[in-house]
Amino acid sequence: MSTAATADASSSGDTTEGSVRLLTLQSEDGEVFEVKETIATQSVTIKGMVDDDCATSTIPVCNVTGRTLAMVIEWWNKHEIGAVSNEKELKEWESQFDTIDDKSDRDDVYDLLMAANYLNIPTLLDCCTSAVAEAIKGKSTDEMREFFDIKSDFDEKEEDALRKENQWAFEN
Amino acid sequence: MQNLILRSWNKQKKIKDYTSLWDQIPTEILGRIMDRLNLLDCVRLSVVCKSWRSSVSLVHNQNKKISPPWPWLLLPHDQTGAKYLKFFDFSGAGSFYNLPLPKGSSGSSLYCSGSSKGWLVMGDCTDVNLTLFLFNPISGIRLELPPLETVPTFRRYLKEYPECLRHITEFVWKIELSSSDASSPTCIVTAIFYDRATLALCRPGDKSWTIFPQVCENHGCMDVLFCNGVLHALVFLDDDEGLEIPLVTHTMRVGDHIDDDPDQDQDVVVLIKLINHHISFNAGSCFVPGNENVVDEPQLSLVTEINSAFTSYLVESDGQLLILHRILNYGFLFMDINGENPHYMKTTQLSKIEVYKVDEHMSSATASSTKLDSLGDKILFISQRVSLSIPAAVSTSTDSNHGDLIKKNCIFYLKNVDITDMTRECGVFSCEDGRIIRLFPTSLTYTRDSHMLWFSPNIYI
Repeated sequence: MSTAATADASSSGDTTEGSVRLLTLQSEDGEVFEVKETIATQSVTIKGMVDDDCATSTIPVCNVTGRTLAMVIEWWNKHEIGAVSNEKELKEWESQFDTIDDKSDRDDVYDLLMAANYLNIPTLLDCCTSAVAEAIKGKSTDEMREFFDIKSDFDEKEEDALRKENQWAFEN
Repeated sequence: MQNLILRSWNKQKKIKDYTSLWDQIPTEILGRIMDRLNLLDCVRLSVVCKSWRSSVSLVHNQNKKISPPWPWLLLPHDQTGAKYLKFFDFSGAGSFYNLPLPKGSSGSSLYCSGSSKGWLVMGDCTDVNLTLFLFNPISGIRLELPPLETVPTFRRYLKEYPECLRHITEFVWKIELSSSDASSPTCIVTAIFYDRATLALCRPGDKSWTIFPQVCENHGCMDVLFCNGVLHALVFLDDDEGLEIPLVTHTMRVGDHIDDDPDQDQDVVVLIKLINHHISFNAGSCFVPGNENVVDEPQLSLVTEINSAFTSYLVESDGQLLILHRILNYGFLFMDINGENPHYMKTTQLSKIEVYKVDEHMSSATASSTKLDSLGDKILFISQRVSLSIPAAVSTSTDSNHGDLIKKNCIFYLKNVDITDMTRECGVFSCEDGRIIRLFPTSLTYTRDSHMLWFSPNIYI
């Protein structure tokens, strides 16, 4: 398993790099990441733990895989103050999330949504919900099902009744 | 930087087994996604699967996203060959919706002449026949209203304007429903017909209209509104000696009155309160020559002197009955619109809107009014055919592009073309500073068949 480009995970608990405190995050599948506190506190959840002095040992990030956590950390790095020289460059970098091109993209966005929700990262949550909304816009119900690989669990009669109630949404 | 992920985004993708988890998406996240979608997309989304449906219902109950508090604007439609009604939804970034028109009888034209509580009032008109019905464009349900031949003034109207059979919009002044559940046997339809001299009531499906006799040519009715279950009518009232009466209460039995019907209880009794227009009207406030507050439009360049006129509306806001006076400046233009002979045409421009709160004094069975300087956090929508109030809080959507257009304490108004006035106007009046912003340019036109309307759709999820 890839260890991503994380730090030496030899020590647990808070370490410092220069004067910057490092936090240790552990993904659901056991990958360990060391992240600067100033960066990780973009997560409201982690910030709360730091403020409450609960971030002194390894922080388990349940429900988020190492792969997703690596993406989240990349997001934090880009959004650290001073990391990108100007707003335009940041927007350009963010634009890779704007569109969902295929099912692999789609499921990455799902993982990121769950992570952003769990860790409470408003910027990432906004970006991902926007990407999903863009993908949904203008699609019919059947197209949405196909796009998200969701099987209808309504029986035919139920679905007919639902469509009839809002005929306008299904006729044109 | 020790913890920097150097790999690019795309390279780290791995082949995954696509067992979708999307149907399990938490309600909160789906709600955030819905905030970025228009109503049409939300309705389509709600039928994808059971779990999404229950999430959509939850979100709906939490923030009323689905039953849009913001009314839609029905745009004028072309009678010939139109298959859809076009609505504009102001919420979010703004959306246009095309809703299918019902099928008319052969060779007929369909006219929209009002809306109330999620229903459009439509006329199916041919050269020889005219039927009025209610149409819910969301569900496609159509409910017939009694024949207009049962309204005495209709025959007179046809006699006076034999060429006007198609102009149903001018006979039907306003329709007001007691409830959005129009197919219920207790739902009452109230109509102001022709020159405001007829107030008629029925239930959908009745065979005839029941005429309310106290409204007549000499005592016209300016507006009607169901407020707290009581039908309120704005009228001019005086007693036999010409003294003014502020408030009179009547009861009226509505139904087909079939005498040999043992089950007379099927008729519904309606409580009607007549409110004298004069309790809120101050003649001195009416005349406001010119209006320097119009932001985006030149003053009328008229060939005659500008005069003022008013129209009054009833609006309910949080259970409180309001009377609004819309004051228009008018004058005459010498114009040649359709290449025939140029002649004088009346044209109007909004000057200001005044808002009064009606105070009913139960003990003495009278009423008075208080002028309001502010609507608080409310937004009102007024027009001859339908008026309503919404809380401003729900409309300040996070992704609103309207900036300062959509804010509390303002009144959206519509003015359609009628037989005497060729101005079509639509804008926002700020109660705070009296400023007026037009939503689109005022137009002068002869076309008076097709009206703009406020419409609040009933959408159930």
